[in-house]
Amino acid sequence: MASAGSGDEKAAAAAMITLISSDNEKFEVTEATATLSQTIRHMIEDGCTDGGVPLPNVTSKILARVIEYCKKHATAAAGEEGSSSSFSDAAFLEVDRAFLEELEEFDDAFLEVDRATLFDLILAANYLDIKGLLNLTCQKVADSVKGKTPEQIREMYNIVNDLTPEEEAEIRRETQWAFE
Amino acid sequence: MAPPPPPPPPDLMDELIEEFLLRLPPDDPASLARAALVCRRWRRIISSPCFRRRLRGLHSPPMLGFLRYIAEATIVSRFVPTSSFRPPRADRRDMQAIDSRHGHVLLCSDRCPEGPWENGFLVWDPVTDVDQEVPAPPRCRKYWKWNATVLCAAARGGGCSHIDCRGQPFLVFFLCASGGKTFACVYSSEAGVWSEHAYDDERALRFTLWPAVLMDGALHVLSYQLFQQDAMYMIFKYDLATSGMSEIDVPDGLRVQEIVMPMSTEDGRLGLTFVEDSRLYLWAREADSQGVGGWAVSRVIELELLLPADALSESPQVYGFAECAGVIFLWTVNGFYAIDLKSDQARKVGEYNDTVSLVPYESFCLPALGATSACEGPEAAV
Repeated sequence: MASAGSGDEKAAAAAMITLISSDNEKFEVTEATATLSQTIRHMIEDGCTDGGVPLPNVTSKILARVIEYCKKHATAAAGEEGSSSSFSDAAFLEVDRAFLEELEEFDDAFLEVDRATLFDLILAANYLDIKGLLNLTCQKVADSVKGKTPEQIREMYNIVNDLTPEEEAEIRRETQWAFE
Repeated sequence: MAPPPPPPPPDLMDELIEEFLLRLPPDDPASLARAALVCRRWRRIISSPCFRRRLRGLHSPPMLGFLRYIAEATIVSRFVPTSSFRPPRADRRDMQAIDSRHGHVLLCSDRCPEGPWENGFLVWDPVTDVDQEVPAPPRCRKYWKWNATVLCAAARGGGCSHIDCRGQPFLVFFLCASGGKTFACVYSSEAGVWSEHAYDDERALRFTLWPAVLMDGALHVLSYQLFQQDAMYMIFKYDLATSGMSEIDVPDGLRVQEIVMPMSTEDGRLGLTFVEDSRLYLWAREADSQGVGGWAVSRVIELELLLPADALSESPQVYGFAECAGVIFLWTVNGFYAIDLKSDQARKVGEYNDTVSLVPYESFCLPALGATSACEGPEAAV
């Protein structure tokens, strides 16, 4: 297990990992950024990242976005660890709050993508096992579905209605109040 | 030239569709019902037992609305939605909502305050609109002070953490006291009969009609004891598994003249709440290292900061408590307000001058989707 003691932390943070997208583009990232992905964390722990980590399910376009997210949130995680010892200090709390607000703004801007990209990000977050990103992207889809009619949802996500009229009528009968 | 249409979104695996459908807010069940109508795949995911189990793990049961009991020219308990849910039937004529738990509403089918002497109770599920009749409890007389509680039958073994027990067997507990005896009657919907326990008790005990607090496998009912000149609050504790009775003192100096409501605190302790001098007091029961219990004020909420001044020209009163949502309903001369204990926000819910009592309704509301409704029910402990 590569559980670095406090003396090794700086060295670990400086270690670089190469990620290789499905279209063979290489991305150099710090270990702190890469290990937001549980999948990559396990690979590092198993010592199989020499020569780069191939990610055959993620295109360079999506991987660049995922790395952007991980960089930002890895900094946030490091900031949290650093400030926890001085939790009582009001000045630090103020800094924390400002940072959290900035992070929220980042997340909002990050999600300003077309629906195809959003779904690609969900697939990548799932494959790379990045809980925060999966939560963020899935919540975005849930928010987009909320309050919409079935027709609007189908149009938004290019879904074909394969329910028979009888099945549709049955669901509508059971939850009539939801369609009034 | 028109821009090219965006590429269609890639296909997601079922488990990822489930991930975002789980994040639809549970207090907006209409969104889930509409999502079930998008296509077969979405319907199948929403109706799967796994989805329902995970939804309950992620969210606590939402407050779908509350029942307000109106006793004017017409006697009615009326469902007032606080979510996108609308019950098939909102008005229950000649009924008083007494209690609600685990998706059930306990209705008293006689005119209160007389009680359920002749017609007994109805246990109503506002989501499915199914009524189940409960005969009059065996041991009670008119004008006795009583309390009644409805809960899922699985709660007796302490195994009711799932909270939503739609369509499952239920129990009704009926407590009353008179003539030196206290009676605890239990109705099981499976057996279809009342069983009865009688306890000798020389005290003149009276039960309030506040919904009981279900905690640690016991019902906690706010009661009072009559003395020659005075009356004293106490909490009557009834153990569901052993039928054992015990009592818990209330904080010193709490007078029966004050309107006090039993509740549970966010961290799962027994609590009491009341309004005094424009402040909402929350007391919590705590045990010291020797296990000896005592009371302490856990929170004081300055109502002047939350409510408009005209609402405080007369002292507000506590009227109801939604446990999962952490909401206290207050009556004021300016109408009813919901005080959200989690966000410290107040929201006016309506004028409702004709409201005698108010019972919040907290339950999941998932579309039954035909045959899959049989999957609804208590899950085995994991």
